[in-house]
Amino acid sequence: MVRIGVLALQGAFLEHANAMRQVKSTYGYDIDVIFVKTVEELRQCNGLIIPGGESTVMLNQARNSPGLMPELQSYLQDPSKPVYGSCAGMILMASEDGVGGGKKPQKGLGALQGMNVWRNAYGAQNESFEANIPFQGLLNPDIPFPAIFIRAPAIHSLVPSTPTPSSNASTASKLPAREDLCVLPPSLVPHIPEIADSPLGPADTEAMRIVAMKQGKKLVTSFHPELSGDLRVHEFFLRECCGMEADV
Amino acid sequence: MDFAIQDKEGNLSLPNGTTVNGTSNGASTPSTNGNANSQSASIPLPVRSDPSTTQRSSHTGTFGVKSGLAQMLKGGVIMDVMNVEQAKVAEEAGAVAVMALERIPSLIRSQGGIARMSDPTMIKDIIDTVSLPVMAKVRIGHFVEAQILQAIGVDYIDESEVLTMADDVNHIHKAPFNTPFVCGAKNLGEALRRIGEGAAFIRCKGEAGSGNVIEAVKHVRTLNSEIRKASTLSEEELYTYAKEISAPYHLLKETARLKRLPVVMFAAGGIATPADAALMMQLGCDGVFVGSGIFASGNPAQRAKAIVQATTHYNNPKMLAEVSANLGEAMSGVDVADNMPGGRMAGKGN
Repeated sequence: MVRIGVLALQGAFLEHANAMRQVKSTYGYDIDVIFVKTVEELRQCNGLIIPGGESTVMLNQARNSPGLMPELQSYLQDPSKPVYGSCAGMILMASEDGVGGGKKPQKGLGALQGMNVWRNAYGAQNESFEANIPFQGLLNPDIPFPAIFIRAPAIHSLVPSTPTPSSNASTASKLPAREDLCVLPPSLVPHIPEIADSPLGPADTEAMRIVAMKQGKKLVTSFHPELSGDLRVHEFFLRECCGMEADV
Repeated sequence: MDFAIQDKEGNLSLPNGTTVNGTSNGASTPSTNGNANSQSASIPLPVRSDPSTTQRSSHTGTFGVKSGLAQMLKGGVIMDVMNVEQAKVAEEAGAVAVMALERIPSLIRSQGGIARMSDPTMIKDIIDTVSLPVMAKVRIGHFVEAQILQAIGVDYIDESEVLTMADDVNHIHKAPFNTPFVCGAKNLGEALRRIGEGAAFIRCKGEAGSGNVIEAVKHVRTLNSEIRKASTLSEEELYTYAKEISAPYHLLKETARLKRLPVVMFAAGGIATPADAALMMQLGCDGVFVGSGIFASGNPAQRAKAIVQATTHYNNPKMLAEVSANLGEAMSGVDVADNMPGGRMAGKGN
């Protein structure tokens, strides 16, 4: 049995837990889903989901829960731990110095070294949108995924900028191979304002199109599969990041 | 065509020019009634926004993105702020969103006069200062104030009984707006009427500016008990119950099936302490609005932080004891009565 934790400090954690429980009953994965608010609960998890919500509030509440912040950071940086972050979860998984776009400086927790993200890259709520987009590696791959973007962040840039082929990933760099799973058409790419003194430097328009990405056991989406009722991204996380097999 | 498009039958046209017969039954696919011969006679079923009818590749202002933002605010505290400095204090304390208004409800009560939408400059200054979603209030029925707030780009509009009413009969037709709406409710019928008009987020009304949680408790208990009742009724009884509480039938049916409101529900109106916030969470609310409770208290920054902590750890009494200690003076508050200063706000709109 694999225990999947959902970080329950703030945000749509219930929606993620419900989606996981539905994946369990629909596809027969042997999992148990728990909510994580304390360091004790985090230590029980074989995999972790960081939901959408307000990233500043989640960071704040992680700091306020005794001992949770350092444990969460080392959990996220441990390559053997499967972690999936949607929207605000993706912001938390960015490089330590890789978060831009907020009104105040903010740190990532370094789950994906080299991933820089930009908060609210698409604008405010009036620009929030839904689109059906192709997503590689899902079950029924011909059916695009109904993606809901809510005040969504975007990947600002990636270091290295090109995906390393898995064959020479171990030799060329210590990073596992990066898989760009879901790429927006150019018409939907956000406009990240050019800020001269932006600590992240200029945005990479190719990286900005990537809205779902997997590297090793880490998965990020800038949209919210937990809201769409389509379970395929959650199933993908169990299959591809947690290394599980469906019992159907 | 940049990527796959799904038509009304659920068939897909893929970017490479091929088509796939529909197998998925997504929200955009209208359900058929299973009788192909009755097509001309049958009444078409209501359909949510149907992306296939236009050539656009993405859609803003759908009910999914409107209610979705409310879902992202769950487990959080939305704080009333009157200026940029207070907005910063709220963000620092861990607010999940701020409600920009010129006078917090306790001041509206004590100062009297007509309470209207805030000055757009003040709201824009707050939008430019914090990274959080910014909400603002309009008078009940004042759809032009709502158009203005949408134009300046607020993230949520509160059609609020805290302000003076602009229309004592009708609420705003909220569905066509791109910006989502939150509305107050005292009971299930009222909540479902607001959702029927297009609200994507419900809060209980409580009694704003009173510092007294009694009305919020009453409204949430009423909602819960009516939802429990609806979930036990037979199909026939559900029609009658919809009539009784003046609720749109399809929303009542959905509520009965889900055993909760079909949108996020927060507590509001009278929350002044961390214990109040945890009480509302334990009663089943998804989060809390705190209006006057913070900036009418002795130590706003510390109280705001404590209420955020209490909302996250609402079922952990040890933690609640810790965060409730040494907060200084809470807002003094008033008894809820018909002759209270400013009168009962919850009675406005129905």
